[in-house]
Amino acid sequence: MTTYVCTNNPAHKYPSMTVDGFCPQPECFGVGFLVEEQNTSIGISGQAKEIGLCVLLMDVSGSMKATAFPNSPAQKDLLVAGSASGGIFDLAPMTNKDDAYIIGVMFDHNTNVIFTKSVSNILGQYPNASDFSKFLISKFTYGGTDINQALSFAKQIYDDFIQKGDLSKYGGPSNVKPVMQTILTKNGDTKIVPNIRVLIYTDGRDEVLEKITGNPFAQEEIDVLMGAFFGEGQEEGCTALKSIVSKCPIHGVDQFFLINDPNRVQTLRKLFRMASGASGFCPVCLAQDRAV
Amino acid sequence: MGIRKNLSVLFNRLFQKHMSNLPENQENIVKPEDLLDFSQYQCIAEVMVSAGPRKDKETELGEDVAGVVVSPTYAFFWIADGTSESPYLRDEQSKIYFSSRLLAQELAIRFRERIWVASTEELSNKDISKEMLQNCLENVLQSWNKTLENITDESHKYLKKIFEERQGTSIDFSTTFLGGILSRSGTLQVSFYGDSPLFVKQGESSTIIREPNYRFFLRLNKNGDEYIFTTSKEHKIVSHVLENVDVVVAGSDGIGKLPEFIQAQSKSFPFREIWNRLHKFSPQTNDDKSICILARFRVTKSH
Repeated sequence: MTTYVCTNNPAHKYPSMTVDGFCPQPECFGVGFLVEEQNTSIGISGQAKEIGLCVLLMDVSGSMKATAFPNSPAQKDLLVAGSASGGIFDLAPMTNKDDAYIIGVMFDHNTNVIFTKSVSNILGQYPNASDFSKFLISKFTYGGTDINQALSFAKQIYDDFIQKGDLSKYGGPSNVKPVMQTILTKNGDTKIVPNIRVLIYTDGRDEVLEKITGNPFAQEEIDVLMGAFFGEGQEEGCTALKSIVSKCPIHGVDQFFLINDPNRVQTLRKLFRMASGASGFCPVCLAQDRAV
Repeated sequence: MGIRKNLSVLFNRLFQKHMSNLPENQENIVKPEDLLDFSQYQCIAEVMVSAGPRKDKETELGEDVAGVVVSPTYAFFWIADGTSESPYLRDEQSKIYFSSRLLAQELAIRFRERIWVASTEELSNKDISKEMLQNCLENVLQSWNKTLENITDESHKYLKKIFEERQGTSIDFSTTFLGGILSRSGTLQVSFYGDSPLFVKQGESSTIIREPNYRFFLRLNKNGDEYIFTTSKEHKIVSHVLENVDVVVAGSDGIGKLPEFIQAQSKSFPFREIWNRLHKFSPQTNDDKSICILARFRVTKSH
């Protein structure tokens, strides 16, 4: 005997088709329709939800307590937390906030997830960007700097998302898959890119191996890693980070951002916004992000 | 049946009048013997559209375009889905006026115009939908480049300013396109540029076609003081030919799982009943939603 299952809630089962083919439960109105239980080719229940994902690798090493720029009292940690929260709150007008997820990872000599939420969850949980910024600051630990560990951790998240559709290890949803975005590369090829971006910012150099051993995303068809450096631009750590990032597939410039001036703080905020929206790759993408 | 017969005569007269108004080189494309014979099949077409939440340019039409042309021997349909939240260029005189929405519209216009000049012989070619679409892509590229010829100083200044603001040397516009042809005998030729879904019913069986998420791009390039549109090196068009097709439902990706809904219902209900409840389905997406429905019915005495 055929049993019919609701596509919105597989717990809703019926011995025969309803008169209009929909699940009669009020919460399923217009959304859940009935399929034959054994017919998995049509069944929608359990189908992966499409989301965009940003992995924010946030340097919380001790040096982040220092002032960001000469003749400016602002501390780097406060600027970063403020820019990140401001950038995320700038996404309030976005139409698909429920499907845009951010995994906030802080790293010093340790690497830990501090939050995994959709943009919609963040906007709902915190009344304003200032409160979210305070939450971020409260999690900072100010230890050493292990950039390689942080990058490896981000690659694990990337693989779990792309290959398994499972972010539950990080406090996120399971049964998900990336929204796919189509781009035209600089040389005229069309590529399909998963909507995941990894943004790492730091102000120093790796203190464990004293070098960045490589970019774990470089082997992917499209490298989704973006790097930002807090400093003057001549530091060893800056050169090291810049040397591992790829060229933007659309514009052919480094996927790298230097924050070396108080005027660039706004850039940092826009960068957090772009990455949190899982889009863009480089400073030109950033300039074009809603510029027109 | 009497009313149907009168409608048939009226339609044939109108169609012949239309044909007589076409330029000389477009005459007699459809021959009288090809005109619809209501004693066999009729094709009913409907377009359903609803807009998603509006974005920056709230007063403009949405990014989706949907259309059908039903001729006596063939029914044509198309769906285009311009990329939302993409650049929008418009100078004061609207000499420069480009967006992904307009790209979708322009492609649809070219496809419609191409249909009018398609001969019966051409349409019997199984690759015609792909050839027509390729032809439209080339025409749109030429057309947009033509608008850049001899632009005024004001338009030139406008473009210069836009490129300075954007700090780049290129601006992209893109859209998907799905175009199909359903013959009276039930042969469906359809070409996809992108991921617009298609539901097809063939007798008791049905299928859903979803192709990869490619898009037709036009890239506005700045080279010194010169501006030119270019496109992808290779167009990612996928074509299918299916026989004995009774129902076609083509949509933009905003319709979500509507094709699956129709397919699930097809096992228990005739398509006419499903059609009457399509509006009750909620795709749960924030996109524009467009559907083209073509249903080929054998006319019986009860009609």
